[in-house]
Amino acid sequence: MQTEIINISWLNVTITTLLIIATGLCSLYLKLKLEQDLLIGTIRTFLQLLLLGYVLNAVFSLRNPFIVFLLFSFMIFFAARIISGRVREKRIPYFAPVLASMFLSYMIINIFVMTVIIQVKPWYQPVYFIPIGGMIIGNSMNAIAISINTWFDGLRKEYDRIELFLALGASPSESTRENFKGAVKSGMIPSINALMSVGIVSIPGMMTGQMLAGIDPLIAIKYQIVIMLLLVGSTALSSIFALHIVRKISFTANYQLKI
Amino acid sequence: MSSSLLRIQNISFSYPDGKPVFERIDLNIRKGTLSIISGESGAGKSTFLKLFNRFHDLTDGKIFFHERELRDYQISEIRRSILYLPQLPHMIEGSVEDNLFFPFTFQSQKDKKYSPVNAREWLDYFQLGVSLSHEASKLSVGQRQRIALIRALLLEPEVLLLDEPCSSLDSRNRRLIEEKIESLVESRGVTAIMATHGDVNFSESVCAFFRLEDRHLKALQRHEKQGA
Repeated sequence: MQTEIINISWLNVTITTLLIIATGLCSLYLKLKLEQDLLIGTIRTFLQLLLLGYVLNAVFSLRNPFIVFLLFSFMIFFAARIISGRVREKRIPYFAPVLASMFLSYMIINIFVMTVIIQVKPWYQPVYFIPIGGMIIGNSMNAIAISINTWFDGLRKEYDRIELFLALGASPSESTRENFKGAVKSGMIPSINALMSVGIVSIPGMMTGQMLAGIDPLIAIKYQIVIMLLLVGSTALSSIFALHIVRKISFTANYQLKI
Repeated sequence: MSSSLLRIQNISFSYPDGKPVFERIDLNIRKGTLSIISGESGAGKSTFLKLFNRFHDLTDGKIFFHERELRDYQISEIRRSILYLPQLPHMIEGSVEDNLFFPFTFQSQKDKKYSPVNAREWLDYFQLGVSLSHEASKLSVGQRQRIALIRALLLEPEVLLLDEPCSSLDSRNRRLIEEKIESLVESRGVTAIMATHGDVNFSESVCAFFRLEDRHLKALQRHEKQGA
């Protein structure tokens, strides 16, 4: 089933801003004070996506592995910045180790999908590598932020218990075994919930996009299944990896809790 | 001073922000003695105890354990031998036995063997009147304090660091714990360092009294001990 792609004209794209104007008027009427954010948000959406379109166009046409690698690294760096903004703990320097763990786990997973599942040739073909990589980063970024916050909250809440365990001879990993499990689980729950509800509650964005581009829904679902499973795997791998490092730097070499 | 179990040589400690807690302290602790460290709240008594199990690191000076510098030991060796008991006796979910047993699952304590018979003897010694299967959450504060002591004693450490073990107890329970601690030192050769900010009733034959004040540790004379 192939349908012709309808290219929306820029005039029609601009017409959709009427919805934003209507929302702005509602905000004024209800005194929600959202007008400024709506205006800035709309301008940013136009500019950021326009920029992304040009960048992707250039990257897709160049097909240079170095450029793909650079763009992917740039995306991971910004995801790590977003995580560090969301995590409330500021004393323990987790940014660099978390960035390294994200980089490593996303690279492993993305290369695995490219070479084994989709079997793209060459494996770094940007039209596959970048969008799928982006989905991995976007999803597991949230999971890592939730996991790290849960971890530090647990350390603060259970400080006395952890100190007792350390005093009785436990190592950092022995004294925080349950905290670690809880932190990984809390990050995993949204992607496991997504597995349960996909296709019933919502048609996923990627599948919708493929179908709008004229792809047969039966091909689109295969991609979607791969993506869903991939997101669970990458979320688990990256958050476990990141939490291992965060756990290590939460204690000194002499098993003292740094918080 | 070769008979010292712990030898503290000119130690100073400051918090990471540079605020000094104590300066140039010397002290010798012999095996089978009880050292009472008194002082106001905030004088640094807990911090002082936590130097011995390396929860804190010295800013200056040296601590020797068996005449070997403390920092030359592996951290797991220190935590096995020098056991710090926090002020509040934390219990994990489960029975009294769960609470006594769990430290034996730690890698550093793996060579020690948990004995239920031994545990029951300690319950009797501390006059707890509860069985090993008793729910820990149903214990009173005084009972929890004694369970915490038994948990430490079952691990047979060489030194016990007791951080105000009687602070939240009524006078009857306080007296009971003090008697038991004294008896442990006197008849079983346990070595203990105990922080306190209230009155204590220990006999002078087994105890050495010190006061942590103005960043220095002062040995107390007989007439100064009351209200230590």
